[in-house]
Amino acid sequence: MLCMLLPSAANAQEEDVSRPVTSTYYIGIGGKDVLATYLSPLHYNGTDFNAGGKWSKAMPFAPEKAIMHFNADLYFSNLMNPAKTARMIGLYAAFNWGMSWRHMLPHGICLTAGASIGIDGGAYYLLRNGNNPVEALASVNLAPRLSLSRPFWIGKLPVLARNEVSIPSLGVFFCPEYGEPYYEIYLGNREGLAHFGWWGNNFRLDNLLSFTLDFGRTALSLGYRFKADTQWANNLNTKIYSHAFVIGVIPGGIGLKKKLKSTPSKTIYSLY
Amino acid sequence: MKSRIATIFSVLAFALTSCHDTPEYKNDIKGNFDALWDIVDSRYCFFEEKEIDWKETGRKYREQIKDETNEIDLFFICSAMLDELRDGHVNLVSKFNTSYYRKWWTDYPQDFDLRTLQEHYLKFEWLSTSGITYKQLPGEIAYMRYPSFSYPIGETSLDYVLAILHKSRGLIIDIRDNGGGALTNIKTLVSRFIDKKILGGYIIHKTGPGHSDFSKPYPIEYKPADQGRIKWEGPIVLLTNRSCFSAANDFAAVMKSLPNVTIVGAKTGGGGGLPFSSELPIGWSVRFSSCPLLDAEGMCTEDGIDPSPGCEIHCTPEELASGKDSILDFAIGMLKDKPLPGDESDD
Repeated sequence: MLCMLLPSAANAQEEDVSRPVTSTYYIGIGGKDVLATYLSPLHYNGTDFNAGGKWSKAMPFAPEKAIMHFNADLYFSNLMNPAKTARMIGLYAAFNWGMSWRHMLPHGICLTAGASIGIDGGAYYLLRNGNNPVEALASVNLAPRLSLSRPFWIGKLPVLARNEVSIPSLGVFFCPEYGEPYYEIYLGNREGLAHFGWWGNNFRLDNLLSFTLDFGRTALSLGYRFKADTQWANNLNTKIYSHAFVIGVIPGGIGLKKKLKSTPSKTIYSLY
Repeated sequence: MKSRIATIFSVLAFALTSCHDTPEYKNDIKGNFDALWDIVDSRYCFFEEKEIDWKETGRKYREQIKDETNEIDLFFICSAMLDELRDGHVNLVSKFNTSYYRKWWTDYPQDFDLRTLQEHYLKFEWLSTSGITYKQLPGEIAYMRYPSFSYPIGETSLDYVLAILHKSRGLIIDIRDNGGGALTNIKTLVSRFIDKKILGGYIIHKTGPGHSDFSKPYPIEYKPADQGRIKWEGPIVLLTNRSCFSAANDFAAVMKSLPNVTIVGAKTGGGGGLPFSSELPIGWSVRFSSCPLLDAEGMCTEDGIDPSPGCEIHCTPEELASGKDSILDFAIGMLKDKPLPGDESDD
């Protein structure tokens, strides 16, 4: 009986509210440090460029609580060795999809907690290496996500301060053996390439601290992003750290202006 | 606040990954020497075959580093240490020099002179495509020379070469002075000389930093060329000398396993290890053998490939100067009485 009632309740709720997709398009620029011992024992440093988008939406079955989100990111890195005698180029893409649950805490603080499934891959190409020119990276992972956000005003402008962290915790990642050439993989030897990843051998973290200025019809997001991607397998060590300044645009705004002015609205936004 | 959060996450990330530390080297004379020694110690693949005591070698050359040792001195100390590996695949590359171990060929007769070949055998007339020089020699003997495996071989070009040389008693493939190149070109060439899949050799790689940490051999199979491609089924004589190295050495190892192939000339120069690259804090790059290539019988090819029994031939400088290529003459002698394609039924 309850099962029969629940969908109708959800449908009734769905009909009452609007649940717009909040789309954020952003670019980031910052610094990156790469240690990839398959290629070199030295740290490469340089500039990292990132472009991406994220889309989120309140879910019909619990619009006040459940949020679905999808992120897509593309990274390009231009790095040099410490002596500036060799260049490394990185190209990387990441996609993840997940669900979060929203809880309102005292003092207007909004907490979301959830998880996402991610797939990502790319390569770092050390131009002067011969038979070991590339460190290819690929993984499929499950990542807990957590965010805290709180609105405040700058004059008449509503601003949302938000910190979002994602920590891929379980997954599978690719890594060749210690001295295995890609030629051998090309010949067909696929043994030992896939590794079960967890915090002990594949610690990763993605943190974005942002301040979103809601102008009503549009919003501007300014933020700082820290990413750590590390893996350890087959005596090969890979550590990639990046710090970036991120600027993003959210067409349609995030609904903060209306909410803080207590304008009656049946629109449920997914960011706050 | 931003910097505090950055610090928190940086500390968390470093803490969780710090148990997998990688040695850090100072960019000074000793730091660079240690980096080079460690890279070779953990990644070079022929210590056991060559019975090299790398610890003792390191101690011997580390003693040469003094307070007054400068960057150029360091390069020559490091180069001398790398020469102890007796390996033509080992180089140290700086802005002012590239070290190179030459004794694998300088201590042996050359057994080849290009001008002698071009003037007295090819008569300055030949065809050329995909880096292959070819011609039908007098006596209906096909000759093709492939001087470097760095030249990409086009399948269609190879069709033309074999079609034009088709009506011959045998094929001479001359790879003397071929210093190597891309292993993929070996597959292209070999595919024209086989009619079924063959095991041409094995590759192994290091699985860890220990001198004995190796994977089990992975077979390297060679498949015949696609249907419609022109193949060579007659006798083949492969000409080699000491300057055949790396991919040329591997090609000789694969061809030696074919029943219709005879290797004539001198033992090849080796280079049976696929080289990897690394680098030092000072910015120099270093190249070294990392993955041994084995022949079809599982034997290491680093020491070179011997000619077929009874076919070790050398050319003296005097002979070459007088226009005589003894190795090529021997090959021609082997093939001159072979039947032409289509004539076998007359025998």
